[in-house]
Amino acid sequence: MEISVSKNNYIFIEDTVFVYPNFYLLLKKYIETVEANGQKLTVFVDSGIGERIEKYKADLKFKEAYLLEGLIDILEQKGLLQKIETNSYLDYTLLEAEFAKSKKDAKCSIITQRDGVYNVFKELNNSCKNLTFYQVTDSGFEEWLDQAQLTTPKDAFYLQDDEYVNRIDTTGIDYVYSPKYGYLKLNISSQMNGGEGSVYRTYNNMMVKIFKKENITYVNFKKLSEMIEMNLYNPFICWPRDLVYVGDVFVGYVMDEVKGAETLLSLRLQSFSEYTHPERFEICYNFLKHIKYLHDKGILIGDLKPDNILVKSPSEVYFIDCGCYQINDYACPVCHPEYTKRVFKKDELKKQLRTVEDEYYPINKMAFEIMIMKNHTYSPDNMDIENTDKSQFFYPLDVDGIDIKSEDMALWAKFLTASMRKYFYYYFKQGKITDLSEWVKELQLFLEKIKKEINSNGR
Amino acid sequence: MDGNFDFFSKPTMNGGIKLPVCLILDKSGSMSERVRSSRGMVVKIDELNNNIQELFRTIRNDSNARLMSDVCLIGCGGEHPEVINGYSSVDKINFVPLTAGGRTPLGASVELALDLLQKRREYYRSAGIEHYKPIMMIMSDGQPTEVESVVYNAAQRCSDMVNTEGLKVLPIGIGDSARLDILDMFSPKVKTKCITNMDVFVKLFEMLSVSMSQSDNTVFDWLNDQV
Repeated sequence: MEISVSKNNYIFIEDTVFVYPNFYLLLKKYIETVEANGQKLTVFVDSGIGERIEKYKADLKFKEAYLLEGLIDILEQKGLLQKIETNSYLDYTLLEAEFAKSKKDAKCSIITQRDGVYNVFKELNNSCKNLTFYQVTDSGFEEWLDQAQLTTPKDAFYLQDDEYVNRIDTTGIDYVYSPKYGYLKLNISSQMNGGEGSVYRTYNNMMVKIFKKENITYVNFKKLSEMIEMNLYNPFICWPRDLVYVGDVFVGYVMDEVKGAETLLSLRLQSFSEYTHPERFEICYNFLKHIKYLHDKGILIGDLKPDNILVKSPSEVYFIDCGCYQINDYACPVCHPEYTKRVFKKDELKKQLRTVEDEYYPINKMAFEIMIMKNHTYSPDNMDIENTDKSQFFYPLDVDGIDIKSEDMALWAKFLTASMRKYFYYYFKQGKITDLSEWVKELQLFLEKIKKEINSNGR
Repeated sequence: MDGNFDFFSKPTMNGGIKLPVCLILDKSGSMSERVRSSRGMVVKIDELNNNIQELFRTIRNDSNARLMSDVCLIGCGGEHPEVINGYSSVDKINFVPLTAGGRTPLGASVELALDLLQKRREYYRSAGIEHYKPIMMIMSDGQPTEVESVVYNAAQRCSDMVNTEGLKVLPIGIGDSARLDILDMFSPKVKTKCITNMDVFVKLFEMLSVSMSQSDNTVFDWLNDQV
């Protein structure tokens, strides 16, 4: 389809659109149509577009950098371009004001390739009646359909009174059978208890999770079978490797063990005292990178909390207890209230799938805790971790001239990049999500910059 | 940092996270009486001592609970309440088994506990230490021996703190003579659990140690399921 035109046209283009293959041809055709009819056109772009060009260059993506730079130059030379501050696509206030100034017959359009941008800017539909969202595809422009999967929970595969055939009481089990690894002896003295069952060490740096009787369910059996079939291999994700049985009864699964690591919770309780600030940011980078890896495969962690993340070194961040992750239509049935924004009713987590939006709460919360070493609701007047107002956020967006009295505020104001501050601020204050890809990219460049500085200073 | 801050050292902040837990322990004369358990008849104060020691053992063996727990023990017995141990890590507590004797100054014990809690919170604030909501276990096997107004005022102050989200109270009555109605006055959100069999008492401390390890509501959920 093509973007419809009118006498006055206002179009906002998000930066990744410019580097979409053949977008420049679509843009050229659109401008020609507008000009041929003597119509007016204003193209808005984010004022930080220059930084995006630099990021492409830093990432050695020169083709993208020069394409973006070239198109911006052309728009500028034609007098069509207007740069506008959107705080990394988290704030549409100024764009809203520009659209509001437009005449009644004006046509307003936003072109974006990113779910996150669409989800923030779609609120403009409330104030701007003649606004249309587009994305670019191989066949041209297409109108954005509401990406319901991001925000609307779907039903999970759920069985009432679910019991696996022949389920048994698993207390006292000391041997299990795995079709892939054979008989496995459980090291009883290594037993660690959790909500769903217990975990034991076994041979060859592997662990076995044995479910409690009530969790030996058909849903768990099916879900774990599918997980094993996925054969996901990432050394930092302790994915289920095989089911284990006692006799012919399914009782749990086997996974890799991580040795010599500490949980993120334990590190946080000790204020990460063994790690420097840059090392902590590297932990955060790897933490987010692995979540992105899972999200890209359509997997949600669900019960994302610091107890389930192990850190061996800044570059070795492991994800454990993966058997309860949300895959396909199998839900993650557990949660920790502190790391969950929505309040779930009893059994709701078994019947309903989490959304990507749900997962961004623990992502942002834990990233903040790693980087700033405080709960995001922390303030000098409120140190209660169980603060019920989860949108409370004390750290300011504008840090010019602020009085820095504590290390956390120094980290916030002087160590974080302006983009990171924006990502946190808009998420916690307004629920506006920054994609993991943006976070990972930002941290990657940040760490490279720090490494250069460390090397140049001989630290 | 925008890239120019000399911040390459390790963190200097104290901080960390604490879970303040105050146990108000009845050590009045009636705690020397016997009650039933699956092991036969046992003395209440002995059971209390054993369970506290077991609780501390469990916490010491759990790295997270050990780092987080900030425990205070108040003795409710004799003529006046007694601070057995001010807020500290379990590693620093040298618990000497309690002996039963004297009266039940419950109101004064709760007032003392609330005063200590307030001071502790001020310390957290000055040191920038984050904390979970404090847990206060109020345990009694009989009825307070103070004038009514002392008990009432303490209960009112305690309830106010619970209602303003500052405190979680775990009210426990031990044995058939415990005045559950009075204990309920201290706890507007959680109903008093009456324990007449000491096996349940053991379970209570197990659940408390889980809550202290996972900083969650396990003990309160268990209590609600029981009542």
